[in-house]
Amino acid sequence: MFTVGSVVAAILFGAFLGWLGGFLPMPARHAAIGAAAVLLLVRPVLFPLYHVPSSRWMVPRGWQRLGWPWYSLLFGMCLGVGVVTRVTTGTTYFVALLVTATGNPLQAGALFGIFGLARAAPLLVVSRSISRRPGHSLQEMEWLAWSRPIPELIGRVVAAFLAGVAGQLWFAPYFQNA
Amino acid sequence: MIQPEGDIPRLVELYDHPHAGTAVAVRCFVLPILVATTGVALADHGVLLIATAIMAGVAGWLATYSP
Repeated sequence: MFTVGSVVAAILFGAFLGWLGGFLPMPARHAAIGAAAVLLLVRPVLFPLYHVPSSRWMVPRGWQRLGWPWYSLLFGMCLGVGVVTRVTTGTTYFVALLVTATGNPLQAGALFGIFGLARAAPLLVVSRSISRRPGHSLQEMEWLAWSRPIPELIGRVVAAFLAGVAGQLWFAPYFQNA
Repeated sequence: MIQPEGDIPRLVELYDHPHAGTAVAVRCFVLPILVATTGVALADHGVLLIATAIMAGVAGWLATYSP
């Protein structure tokens, strides 16, 4: 139910962002993607002490009283949206901006749904481990935490790639008109 | 407040390197510019969507395992 909540909330939130993005002119979308991608790349070097803005709110423990499936569903929904609980990485905001820039609720919902699924996927892995081998779940959590440089590297490469794509799409009309 | 994990120790590690200037230049500027050039060459709205999909997966992974 956690996974269902995470994915459904992410799809709905993504669709809302895509709908909002539809009101933005195309050049503004490309400029925003390019600027945000560059900011994401240079932030650790130029602003190492800066932490991304974040809500301090966390899912209340009291909600456990709701029991299964409502607690799992609500917990997943809160995390699937990505920005209502603590945000520890700028990539969350970057993806929200990217899906907004699509300007298409269907595409944006599907794309942000991937965020919700990726956020819930580790829990699926660990929950299977708990049921099969009690006590081994923490080791898998440690491995997943240790693997953090992998998504960071992929994220940096894709951000650099997106900076180029957005830059080209932004500049292309000027070259065509020249 | 400096956290025990995150960007700071990695930056310290980076700047402690004997060839710190070169390492920073390559890692933060040269490699991203090379990758961005590939993006310029392949620029297309379909490519933008695929890259967004990959970034969404990466962001979900990082959001769960960030310190």
